[in-house]
Amino acid sequence: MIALTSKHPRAVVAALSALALGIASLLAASPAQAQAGGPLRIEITEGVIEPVPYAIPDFVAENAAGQQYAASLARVVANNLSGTGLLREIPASAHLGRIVSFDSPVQFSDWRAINAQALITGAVLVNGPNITVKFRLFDVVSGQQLGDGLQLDGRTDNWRRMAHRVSDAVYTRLTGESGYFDSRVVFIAESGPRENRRKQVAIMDQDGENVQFLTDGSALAFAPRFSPTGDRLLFTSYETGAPRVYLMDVATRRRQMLGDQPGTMAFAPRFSPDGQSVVYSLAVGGTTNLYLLNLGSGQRFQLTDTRAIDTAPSFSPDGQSVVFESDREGTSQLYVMDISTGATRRLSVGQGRYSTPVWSPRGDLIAFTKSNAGRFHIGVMRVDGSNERLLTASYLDEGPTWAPNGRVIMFTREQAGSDAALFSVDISGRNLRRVPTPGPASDPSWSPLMP
Amino acid sequence: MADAITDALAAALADDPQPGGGGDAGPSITQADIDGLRLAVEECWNVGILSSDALQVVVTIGFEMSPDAHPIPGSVRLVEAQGGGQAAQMTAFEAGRRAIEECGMNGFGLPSELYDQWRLVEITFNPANMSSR
Repeated sequence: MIALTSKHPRAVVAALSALALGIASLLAASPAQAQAGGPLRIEITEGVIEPVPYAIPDFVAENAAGQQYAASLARVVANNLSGTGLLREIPASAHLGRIVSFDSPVQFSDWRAINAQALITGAVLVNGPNITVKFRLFDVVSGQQLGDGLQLDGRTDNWRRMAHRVSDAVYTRLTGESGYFDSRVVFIAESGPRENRRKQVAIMDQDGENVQFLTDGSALAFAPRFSPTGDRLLFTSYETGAPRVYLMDVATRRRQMLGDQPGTMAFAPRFSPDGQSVVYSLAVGGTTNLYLLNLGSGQRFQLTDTRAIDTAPSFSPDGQSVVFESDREGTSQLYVMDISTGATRRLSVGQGRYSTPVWSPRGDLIAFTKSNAGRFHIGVMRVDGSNERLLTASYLDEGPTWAPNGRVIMFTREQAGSDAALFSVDISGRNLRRVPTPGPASDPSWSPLMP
Repeated sequence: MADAITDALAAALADDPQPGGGGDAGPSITQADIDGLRLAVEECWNVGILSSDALQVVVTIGFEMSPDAHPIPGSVRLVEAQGGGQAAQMTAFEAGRRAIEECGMNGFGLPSELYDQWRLVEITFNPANMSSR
């Protein structure tokens, strides 16, 4: 900095104006330099973890036909966002301001007054079978729009999907995560008396709506699993008297048995990430090993060859590895096999029995069921087996499945003496909640985001 | 721009240019004042919503205060972000900005006679302790 001794700063400034112009560009770029010695610098390493309060008034109906969707769209979005546990809705009863026009400037003071930090506004227009939905997201604290908002065009009978896509866009913009709301879950719906249980493959939107039954329940069905593009399912069924793997097209409901081998039992099927192959367990003559079936060629490859029970295989998202459950060392533990070399390493290291491993779609974690000292847990660990964290504990928790963004896990929970139900939990272990289903439910599998 | 130049030269001529500077150059902002500002912003730094990527981002945010110790809204800006991708850096910045503006709404209660020493602030938000993944 320039060293000057004059006692009249203003005169000095005037005299140096020509020189000042020369250094002006530097100063304009970093006003922090203007405070001699630099700005006051602080480091913050502790914060809070709380749901962010937000408001979402009913969407604005831009024509009369849109009116019937104006509130419903907002409710589906609110249910999704609040359901994450990361956001907390300030209900309409508390609102001071109103959104009557999608394009009018927002009076942020109205929303600050009710302590909202985020505001979502929307609009809906319906012409015959077609619906247009728009939204904007605002940071109320700074009074700025976040992102550009979005306009979605679709069919009215898909209005829920439009709301899920709005939810994904808002969630992504606020958290930095990719979304997971425009997705479905396939599961086993249970009904009837306990001695004669009916088990059907069912499919629903991730929020529990639009439940449809894909098998009629005349034969027991298990372990439904989505294909990587969400268009097909694998499941195990006893309709021939022994467990067999079936492949079903979700849209047409047409299905076929895969590779029938008399005298064997086939189960626990999963797709490879390219959707071209199925990895599964085959029990032949007292041993249960993993096999890979190429759907196009029908060729079958045996992956493991031990006297143990190897089951519950799950591919890594890059298709290079399979994690599975095996009792080859005595108790049920997790192992990872490199598909091309066959090299297998043990993954689980803790006390207890480990089962049903599932690789996260982000490739960074493996979820599993663990039982230890009479309790069951859903847990996650890094793919090298380190940093094992248990997310839940109960009488019986099992069978995790990942949301498409790798942040939420859904699983089956059974309370002592009562029916099975689906629950979900955030990867942090927070926000454990029940997923609504028409009746008892188990064995969920979460689809990717719908295309 | 002209104000920045004037300020820069005025500051260069000032008797006590350093925040918390030498004892014989007049009163300095105290550690208690600085801690008060830090604790106030911490209360509003809500990281619950941040993705695991955003929890890897160390973001430095600069802003200017009005003489009654309120952050001047338009002055809040990103100085530097390290770690994470673009989306993660953006959400990390926004969480820090919300913390500054939300908890600054009622002023930070800093001593007005020492305004020169806290008019410009840079806060580095480091979430290393807040991540569980």
